[in-house]
Amino acid sequence: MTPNSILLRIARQEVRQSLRNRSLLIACAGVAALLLLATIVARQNQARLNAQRETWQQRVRSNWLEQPDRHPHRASHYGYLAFRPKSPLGFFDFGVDSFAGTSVFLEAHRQNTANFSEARHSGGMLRFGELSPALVLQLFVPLAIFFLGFGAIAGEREGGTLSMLLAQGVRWREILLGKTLGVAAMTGLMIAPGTLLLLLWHLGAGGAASGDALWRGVGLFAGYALYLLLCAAVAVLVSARQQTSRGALTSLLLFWIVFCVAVPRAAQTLGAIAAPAPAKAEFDAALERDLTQEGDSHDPNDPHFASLRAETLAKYNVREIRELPFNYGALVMLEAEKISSGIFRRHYGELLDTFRRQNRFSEWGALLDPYLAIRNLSMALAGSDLAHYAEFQWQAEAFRFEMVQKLNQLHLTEVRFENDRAQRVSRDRWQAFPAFAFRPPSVADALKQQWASIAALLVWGLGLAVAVGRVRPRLVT
Amino acid sequence: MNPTRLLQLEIKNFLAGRAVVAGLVVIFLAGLYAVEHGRRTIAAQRQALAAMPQLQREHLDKTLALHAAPDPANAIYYLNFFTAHEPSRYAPLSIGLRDVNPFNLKIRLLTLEGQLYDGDISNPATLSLGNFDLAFLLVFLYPLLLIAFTHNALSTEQELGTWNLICSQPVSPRAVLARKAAIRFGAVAGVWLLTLAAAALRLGLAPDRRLGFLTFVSLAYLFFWFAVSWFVISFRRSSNFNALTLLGVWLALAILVPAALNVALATWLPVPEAMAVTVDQREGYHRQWDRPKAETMTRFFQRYPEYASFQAPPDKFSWGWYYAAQHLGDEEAASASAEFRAKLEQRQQWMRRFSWLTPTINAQAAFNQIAQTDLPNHLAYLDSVRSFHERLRRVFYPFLMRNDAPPPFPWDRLPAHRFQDESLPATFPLSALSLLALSAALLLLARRRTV
Repeated sequence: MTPNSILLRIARQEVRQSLRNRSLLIACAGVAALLLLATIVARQNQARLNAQRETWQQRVRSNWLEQPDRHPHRASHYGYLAFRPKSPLGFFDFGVDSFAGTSVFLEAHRQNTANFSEARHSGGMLRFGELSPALVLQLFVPLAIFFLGFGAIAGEREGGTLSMLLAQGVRWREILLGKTLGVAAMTGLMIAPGTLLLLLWHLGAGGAASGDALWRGVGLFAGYALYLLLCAAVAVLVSARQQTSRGALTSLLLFWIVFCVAVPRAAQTLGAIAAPAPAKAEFDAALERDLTQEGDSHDPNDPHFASLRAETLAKYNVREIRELPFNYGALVMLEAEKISSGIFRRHYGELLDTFRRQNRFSEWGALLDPYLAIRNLSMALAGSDLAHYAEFQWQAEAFRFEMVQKLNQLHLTEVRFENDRAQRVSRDRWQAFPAFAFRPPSVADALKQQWASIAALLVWGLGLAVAVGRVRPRLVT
Repeated sequence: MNPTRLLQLEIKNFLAGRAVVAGLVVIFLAGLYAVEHGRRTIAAQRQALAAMPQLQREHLDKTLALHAAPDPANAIYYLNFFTAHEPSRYAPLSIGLRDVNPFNLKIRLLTLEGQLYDGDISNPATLSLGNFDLAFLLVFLYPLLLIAFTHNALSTEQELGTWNLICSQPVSPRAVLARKAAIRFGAVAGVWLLTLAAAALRLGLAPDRRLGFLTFVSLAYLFFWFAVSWFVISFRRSSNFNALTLLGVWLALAILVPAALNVALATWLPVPEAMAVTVDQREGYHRQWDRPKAETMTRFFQRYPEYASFQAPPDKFSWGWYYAAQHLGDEEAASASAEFRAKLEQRQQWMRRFSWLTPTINAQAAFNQIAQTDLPNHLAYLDSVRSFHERLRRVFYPFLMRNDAPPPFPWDRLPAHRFQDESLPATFPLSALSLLALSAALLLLARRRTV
């Protein structure tokens, strides 16, 4: 026999044995059904939320367009509401989505928080976990794999068949690899219906139409395939090293509890301790302090704006601002908005850096805990991680800044300084403002921040491959 | 042999298990970490709140210096008022929703509905993973420890062939089983009580009613898991079968059922009202700028007839008119806001109903309730902000809604917001009784099998 055919025979034998075990079949069917159910429910949930946000986004847009003649600065206080759509693959992995704000009010002078996260409406049940395909694949399928694999070697040993195999000249690594393949094949069968449905929906939603969506799909598929293969290898290796199948099962379950339940929370809370983020009040106070220092247009004695005034008067060679050929009040607002937006960007950037430092514990923890690796990679590819949320905040701020400055520009040129407040510009002007539309970051940008997760999965893969080649299982119980 | 000796032997036997002592030590250490995490998280919130009076004074001084002259009403426009949701002393044990919901809100005299739902600036990744607090440890990890200890209590003896030996002895097998059961539950419950005691010491909690409730609920919860384990092992299947079945039950109760119920609630009771509130208050206020000022005032006077003598200049800006317009934003959003609020309460009510049959939700909800970190508590805080805002209106409106020049503003006598969780009564979480009922039922069923 060629080595390959031995491998395949062992794998096939493993599958056949699993298929004969009734409680195994029930468990696998349960997980398969769960994956299907999670996929369907999550997608419905996503469709509902997106429809809701879309409706309100359109309402906000048409309200904007229907504004009567108004003073431009009125319009910039009337402002705009930006809603954060869930990403197309957001239903696959909810990531941080439900804990991030969904709408932000955009107005002149200030940056508001993103409000109304799903978690704030849930009364606490959300904290137990959210039913998504990712949850099933990350937590439940590995458990089923451990169930499938705990007896792979230990069972043969207890049945006395292991030494028979070896006596026939089959090599250790062939047994281990064959068993791993067998468990992996069973896993494939188990997740096939759900995967197929996910694939169809992804393709139906244009998953192959754009390179970006295609690569996200491919990346998720590859990532999970590797993760689940790792789980299969771990199960077989533990089964090989432990004395009894009972010991193997206990160890595997312990692995699962530590890696999938305890370590993730512990890592993140450690991160939050290591890089403490400021409270909202502190953050605001720091913003205000910088604003006072760099130029507060609401302070009549502010040096920055005093010199702006002097320079402008000198430049146009006039003595009073009302002699200027444009509306000086608007010039002040243009300048003030530039300053305050710059300060906000700096502070918000620092805050995001703090968040990233907090998350670093989970990112590097992935080298120890492959669950964290797939978790991070999965939500990045699904477009539901912190980076995607931050991108929404940046785009909302950029949209706000452009909207307000465009209105200030109108104010500058089309509203006279005299009797400023009583004037209005025509409502036709509102048409020239674009609607807010979130452009998600590209898959390349998403992956750029995930090299730790990818490296962790590869290191684990390599380590386990070496182990499968090297490990000498116990022969006797 | 006398019973004490038997008990000693059984304890020795139990503790000789390879991972037993390690498991107990690890979960105790995890408990200390959980207490410390909770303490730090809440201490950070306390610290932020403690800094607020100072921030408020500085803000007031600065705003008055810049804007109080010539028209003091200018300063009112810029003034922020700080409100604080002080944590209860028990919050470190169960952080609940205190990280998801903001614990301080700055409000201005403007439309309240546009300010009440402001979020905090927290890391959503941290929020999504959740807190490693004592409630988490109890709800998620302690059951696993109990399962680990009990799943093979009977099957090991069977698998090793010692069970028949025991049955041939002149002791009743039921007494042997009861001893085994008592030791396993006692060990886990003992470590938990030790952890609670450590927490009480570290956090300086007096042994009062709340601590009593917490202890009762947690022991009832542990007892439930013990009963489940005992029920499963009463089928006398293999250790592997027991382990997997119990883990399946754990998965269902700790993750699957709550997640499914949450999705169901989100689907049946969606809250588009949240967005309606935001849009309505904005439209309701801004619309006033485009209509005759008298119309705005008429609507405002319906709500506040006491200021009806105020005459807003029809073609000129006045602060009296401005705040009336702001107020109409709240009026416009009132119905959506009430619906939003009702939906949240309905969701909460449903969760309470579910908790009678879902022990995990039960324990978590009871912990959050006792620690005053749940949704009703946050809503109570929002109510206090609402009535504080109303107080501010009553303080400032008389100065703004008048035809003559107002007297000097009482800047040194501004109202301050106060809200403390422990002002709310600590009620016994009645639903915890269902934990005992479920346990009793399971043990009765198990008893019929093991005899």
